[in-house]
Amino acid sequence: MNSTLPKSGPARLLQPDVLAGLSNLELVARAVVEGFLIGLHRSPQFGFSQEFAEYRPYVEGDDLRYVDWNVYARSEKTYIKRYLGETNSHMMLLLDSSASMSYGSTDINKFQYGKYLAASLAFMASQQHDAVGCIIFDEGIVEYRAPSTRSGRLMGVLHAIDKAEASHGTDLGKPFQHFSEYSKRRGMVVVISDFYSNAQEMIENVRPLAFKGQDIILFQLLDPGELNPGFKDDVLIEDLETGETLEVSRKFIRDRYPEIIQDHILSINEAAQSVGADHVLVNTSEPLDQALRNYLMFRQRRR
Amino acid sequence: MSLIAPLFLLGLFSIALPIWLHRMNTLNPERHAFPSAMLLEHSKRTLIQKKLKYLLLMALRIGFLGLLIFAFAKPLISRPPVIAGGEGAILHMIVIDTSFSMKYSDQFNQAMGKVSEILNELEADDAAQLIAASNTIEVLMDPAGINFDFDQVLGRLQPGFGRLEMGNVIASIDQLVSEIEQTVELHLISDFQESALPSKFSELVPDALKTNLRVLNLHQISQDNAVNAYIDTVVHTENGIEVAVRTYQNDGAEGSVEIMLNGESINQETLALSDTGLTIFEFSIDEIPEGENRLVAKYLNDDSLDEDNIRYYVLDNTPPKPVLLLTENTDALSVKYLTAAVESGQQGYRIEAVRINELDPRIIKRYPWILIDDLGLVNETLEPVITEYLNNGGAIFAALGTRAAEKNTIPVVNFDVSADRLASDITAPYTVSAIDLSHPALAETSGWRDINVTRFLGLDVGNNADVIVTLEDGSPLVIEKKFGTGRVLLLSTSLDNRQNDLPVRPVFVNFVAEAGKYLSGDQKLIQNQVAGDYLQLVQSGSSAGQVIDPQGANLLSLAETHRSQDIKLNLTGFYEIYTSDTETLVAVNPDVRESEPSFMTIEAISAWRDALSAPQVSVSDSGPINIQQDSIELWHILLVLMGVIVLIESIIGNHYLGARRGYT
Repeated sequence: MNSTLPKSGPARLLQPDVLAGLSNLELVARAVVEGFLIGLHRSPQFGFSQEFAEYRPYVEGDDLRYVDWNVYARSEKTYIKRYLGETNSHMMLLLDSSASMSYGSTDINKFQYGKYLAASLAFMASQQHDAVGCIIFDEGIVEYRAPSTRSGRLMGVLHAIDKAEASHGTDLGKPFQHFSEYSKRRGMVVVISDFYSNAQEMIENVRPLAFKGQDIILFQLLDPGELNPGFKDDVLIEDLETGETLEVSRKFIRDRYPEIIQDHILSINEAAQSVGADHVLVNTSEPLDQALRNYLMFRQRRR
Repeated sequence: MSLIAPLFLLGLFSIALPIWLHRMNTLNPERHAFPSAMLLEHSKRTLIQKKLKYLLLMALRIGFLGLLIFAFAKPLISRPPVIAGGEGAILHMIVIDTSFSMKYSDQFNQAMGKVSEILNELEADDAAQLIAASNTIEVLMDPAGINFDFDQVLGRLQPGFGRLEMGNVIASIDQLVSEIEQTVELHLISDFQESALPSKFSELVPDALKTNLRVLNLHQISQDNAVNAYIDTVVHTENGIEVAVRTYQNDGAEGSVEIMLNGESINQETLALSDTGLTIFEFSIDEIPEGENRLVAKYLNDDSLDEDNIRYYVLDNTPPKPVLLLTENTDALSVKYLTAAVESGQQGYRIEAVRINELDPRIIKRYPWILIDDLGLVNETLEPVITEYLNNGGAIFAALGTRAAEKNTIPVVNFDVSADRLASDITAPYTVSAIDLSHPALAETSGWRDINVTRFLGLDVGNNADVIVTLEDGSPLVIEKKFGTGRVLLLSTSLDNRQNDLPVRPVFVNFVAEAGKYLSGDQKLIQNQVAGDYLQLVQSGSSAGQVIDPQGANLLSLAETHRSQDIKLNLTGFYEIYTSDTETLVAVNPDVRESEPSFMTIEAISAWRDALSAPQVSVSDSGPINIQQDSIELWHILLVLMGVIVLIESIIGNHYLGARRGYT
């Protein structure tokens, strides 16, 4: 297993196999985020928490609590102090719970990994006072939690993520349509899936959200067994979503499959770029911090 | 083990195991879960290759198991028993007398010693073949070289209860030698009983001596003292049982005989035995149980051959079966002749003569066969009853008397009477011109040509009847007509001696007895036989019967009980024969001639040797004999094949298992 972090100290909590030993998803999310943040303090590149963004003149209707009275004492002008958290105040997590997500050639499968990632992002956003919601989907909408900053919302989201089971097929159109109907505010949309679908069809579903000003990031989770299947001979493959079987030759797996999977990843990436979305490929054998770094970098770019 | 042995067949079922495994694998192939087949391509060639690989694996496994099972069946490739040597090669044929007389004293051990001597003297290139001689000769093995384990064959050899006829042995050996191209040296090891010698001395000289039989060596087993006593005969007389004990060189001692009836000792008697000759022991039996009884006579004194001191005898006290004789007059001559002939036969019949006008027709069906001394007596009322009786499997022996001569058509058989051949036209007696001796009713008869017929009815029998005896003018004398499974045997003349002299000729008794046996279907077995004879079990209907030997073993398998069989009587004692409608006992004893301790003298042997040496042909020097292995055991070939199969199976199997594992 390739890992960019040593398996010691707080950072070891980011290893997927270590997280698999924790039964409580909230605990997992807390461990991930705190472990990740400890690592961040050594880095000058990233900031977090209630970061100052800008001042703007007070206008009627603004909450007086946010007036910077220190500035007013010095300049007798009322300015409202704005923080980063106020720029993207909504985060919606879209977690794919189709059967293909249950695949795993290591100790942790893609769906578990996706759950940890979703929980960690929700936890991190909650720390930042963002409103967090989630949609669990497969062929349809399995669970929907609207974004909210109310206390207890995080627990609701984590609970929804925790109880989700991987089954059925995938229809990426449904969650995007659902989200479009119920979300009127601009915010961030995080899609966690293996994206076994046609890239163009998928992006057609994403495009309306992008036009509405939503910031979209696509986490494509792939198992090392998908990126490099270790079949030594001809095999009978069973599709986890459809149950169909297929005789596949060793020659195909060895010579053509790596090229096809890379083309597919590239097509997803290009499709994402075409609508201004970010695409992050996540190898489920690697620690979660890489995904979190991508998330923060994405936030920074969109600030 | 043979290819129909139960264990072999059971083993064949194990072949089902790889077929079942293959079937299971085919139905439940190992599948590898994969998130989506969206990016994969189906490989049809792979599927076919895999199927072929599976089939090859299955074939290899079946092949391995098949060969293993086959190897356990000990397969052999047999070759003709011919020595493929060059001309002049020598084969030593060693013929060993295994007749009953070889049980005397230690004669057989001496014979075995002589065989060993001959085998030890064989040259390195010689071959030998062992043959047992008794009633028939039995080739014990195919020719083999000196390295062959002859003791393995000799160890199984024992003298039996059979009778050896030296003339038959020489003739059989002659035939055997003539089928072999190589030079043969014959060794005959026997006690050379005088009684075994043929009537013509020339029968002791094999014709093969003129061709490839180089020499016939006679090895006589030495005799110590020609002393023996044995039971010669057991006879059932009106007064009881007579047991004859024959003694040779008895020194005046007394002898005791005990008789046992159905396992119980009923009498014992001691008498002074004659020096050389017969001593008759007479026993009276108060009451003999009805049916067949097992009588065993034992000579109680010890001697050098104990097994001839006991004799088995079937004491038959079965009441005669009734046979219906329909006649006009029960005092007629024809009735007397028929009664005498029928009741004197071995079959044990008793005539019940009934006047035909007093007959209750319902009783006819009780009898397996009936007699009618004049078929012309059958009137219109009785004719349908008799016809029905025949159609149901009944049988009639009939003649044509004065009543038949009054009719134009003979009742029942419907033969037209030819008016121009009426008996009154005959001026001189007719004789028989043609006899079908293949007919069962005539097979054991002789003397037909001696009879004279002065009056008979000329009959037009048509195509539905067989004429089995014909008179000189072509007229039928004995005719058979079948009615389904029933039949009528008809004489075209009467059975009193006014029209012919048949009833007073010896042939008449035999003819009536055989006709009765044929018509009734009773194939009565000979109850007292000698060892080595064959018991003929004739199929009747769908079964032939079962035979239980004196040791209580069933001699026939279930399938064999449905077919006619010739069963060799190898043991002495009582054989039980069960047929579809009878149970019969057969007592088997050794031929008494085998018990005679009289042997060829040295002078007679010398004369025989002289006769053998006279026509001896010059034989070229024998080259080394090239003995082809008579049979090749296949197990080592099978072992190699199995090894190859295991190797291939392992390679393919490992490859296959690697594929099944998927990941490594």
